[in-house]
Amino acid sequence: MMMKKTLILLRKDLAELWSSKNLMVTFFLFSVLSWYYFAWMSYEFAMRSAQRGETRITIQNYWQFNADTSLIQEILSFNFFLLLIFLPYLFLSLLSEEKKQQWRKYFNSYKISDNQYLVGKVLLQVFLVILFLGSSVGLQYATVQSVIEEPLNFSYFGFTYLLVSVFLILILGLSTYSFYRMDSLLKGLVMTYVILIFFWLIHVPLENQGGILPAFFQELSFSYRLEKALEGLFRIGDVIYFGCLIVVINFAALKSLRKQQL
Amino acid sequence: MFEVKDLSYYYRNYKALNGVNFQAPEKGVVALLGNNGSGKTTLIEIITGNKYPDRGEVQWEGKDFLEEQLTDLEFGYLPEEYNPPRHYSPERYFKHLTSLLQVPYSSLLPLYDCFNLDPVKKKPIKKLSKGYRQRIGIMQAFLGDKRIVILDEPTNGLDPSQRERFFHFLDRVRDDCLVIISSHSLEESLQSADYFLIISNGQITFSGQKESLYSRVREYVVEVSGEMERIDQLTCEVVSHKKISSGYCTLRLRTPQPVADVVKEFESIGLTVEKIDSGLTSLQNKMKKNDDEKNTDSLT
Repeated sequence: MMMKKTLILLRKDLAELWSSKNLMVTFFLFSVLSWYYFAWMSYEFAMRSAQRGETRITIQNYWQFNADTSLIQEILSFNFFLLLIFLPYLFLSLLSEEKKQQWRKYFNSYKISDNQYLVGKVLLQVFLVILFLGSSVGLQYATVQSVIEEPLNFSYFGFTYLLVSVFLILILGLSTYSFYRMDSLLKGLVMTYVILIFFWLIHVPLENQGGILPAFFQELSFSYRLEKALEGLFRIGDVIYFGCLIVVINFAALKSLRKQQL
Repeated sequence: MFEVKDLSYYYRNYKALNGVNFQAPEKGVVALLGNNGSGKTTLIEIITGNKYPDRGEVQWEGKDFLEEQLTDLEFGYLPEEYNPPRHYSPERYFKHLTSLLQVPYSSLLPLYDCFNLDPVKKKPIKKLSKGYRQRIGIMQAFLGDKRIVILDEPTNGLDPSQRERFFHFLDRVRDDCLVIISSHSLEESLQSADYFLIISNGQITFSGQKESLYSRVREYVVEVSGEMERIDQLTCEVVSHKKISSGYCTLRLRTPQPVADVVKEFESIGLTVEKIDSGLTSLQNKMKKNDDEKNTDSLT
C-alpha cells in the first residue's frame, strides 16, 4: 500500500520531468559536451599513438593516455563535473515547480505520508542519475569501440560508474535537504555546493597521514574516495560510506520537510 | 460535531491566532469570514494539518482531527493559491488523483458537468484560465466520499455565472457533508452559508446562525477619497454608492466589522476615509425605535 502510493507519486514526478524544458536543455547540453570532450580526447590519443609509431591500438594503451594521465579518468572527471552542475539544478527546479503548485498542502487529504513522498523523490533521483550516466556510458562505449580493435572490458568502467552513481544520488539527496531547509531554489543550490565543497576540501597531506585523527579526516573526504575510484581502485567501503550518507541526508531532509510545517 | 478548542499559533513573535474556539455542525456550509491578515488561512492550514498549533486542538466527533485525517476521515481541501500541474489535462490529473484516493474514475464524471469542465477536460491545464483552474481545484476537493471539505477562498477567479453554479453545487452537497469556506465577502457568504464564523486579529468575534449574524450587522456611511476603481476590492457589502466628484464619493456599507476595522480596510486598499458615520441594522433600528416608544409612553 505504501509502495503503491509512492509509485503513483513517482509516476507524476516522471510525467512532470518528461514535460520539463529544463530536462531537455540540460540533457542536450550534457550529451553534446560529454560526447565532444570524449571524441576530442580520443582524437588526441590517436594522434599521439600515431606519433609514437604504434600501429595497433590496444585497450591498455587507450586507458593510459600518456605516462601521467589516464584517458578514462580525464573523461569521467569531466562528465562528473558536468553532472555536479546539471543534476542538482534540474532536480531542484522540479522541487521548486512542485512548491509553486502547493502540492504538499493537500497531501493529508490524499493520505500521503512524508515518508511516501520522500521515497518517491529518492526513486526519482536514482532515475535521473541512471538516465544521465547511462547516456554518457552509451556514447563513450560507441566512441571507444570505433577507435580500438578489441572488445571492451567493463569491469573498471562498471565499478567506477557504480561509485559515481551512488555519489551523485548522495548529492541529489543533499540538494533536497538544502531545498527544504532554505525553501528556495537558489539558496538550496548554494547550500548544496557549500556543503559539497566543505567535504571535498577535507584533505590530509601525505606527511600527516599517520595517526587516528588524520586517518579519520581522510575517510571523511569526498575527493579522496572519488580519486581512488577514478584511478580504478574499487573499494566496497566507499560505496557503503556514500550509501550511509544517503540514508542520513534523506533522514535530515525528512526532518526539514516536517519542520517547514511548524 | 467539529470543534476547535483554544487554538493559538505564533509566527515568531507575532500571534496569528489567539485562543480560537468554535463549534460547527456535522453537516452544512460554514463561512469563515475576516479581513486580510485576520488569521483565516492560518486557521485553515492548522485544521488541514499543514501547520501545527502552538496550543489547542481540533476535534471531530470527539476525536483528534489531525490524527483522524491520516487514518479514517475523508476530507478535502482547496488551498488559497491553487496551481494544478501545468502540463496535465484535467482528465489526466483527475485520473492521477483518483488512483491516489483509490476511487473509480467513473465516480467523478457527474462532477465534470457540475463544474462545466467537460469541454476542456482534454486540454493542457496551462492553456486554461484562472477560473477553470479554480474549478478544477474545487472539484478535486470533493473527490471521493468526503465528510469534511475545506475551501480557502473558493470563488477567487470565478465569474458571476460560475459563482452561481458553485452555490448551486453547495446546495446539493450541504446535507451530505460539512463544507467550511473562507471568504472576504459577507454578501457571497450570506447566499450560501448556514453558519458563520467571523475572525478578527486571530480571534473568533462571532459564531452563529444567519439570523444572529443579521442582528450584528452594522451599516456605515463613509465618505472616501482616492481612486474609486478600488472600491471593488472592498470585502464589505456596498449597499449604495454615490459619486460626489472625481476621486470623492459617499458609500453606504453593511458589515459586522467594528469602525476601526472598516477604516483599516479602506486604508489597506489605498483609499482615505474622510468621514465615517456608523448606524445600526434595520432590525436593530426597529428594536431601538420600539424601546424609544416604550420610554416615551412611560414618561407621559
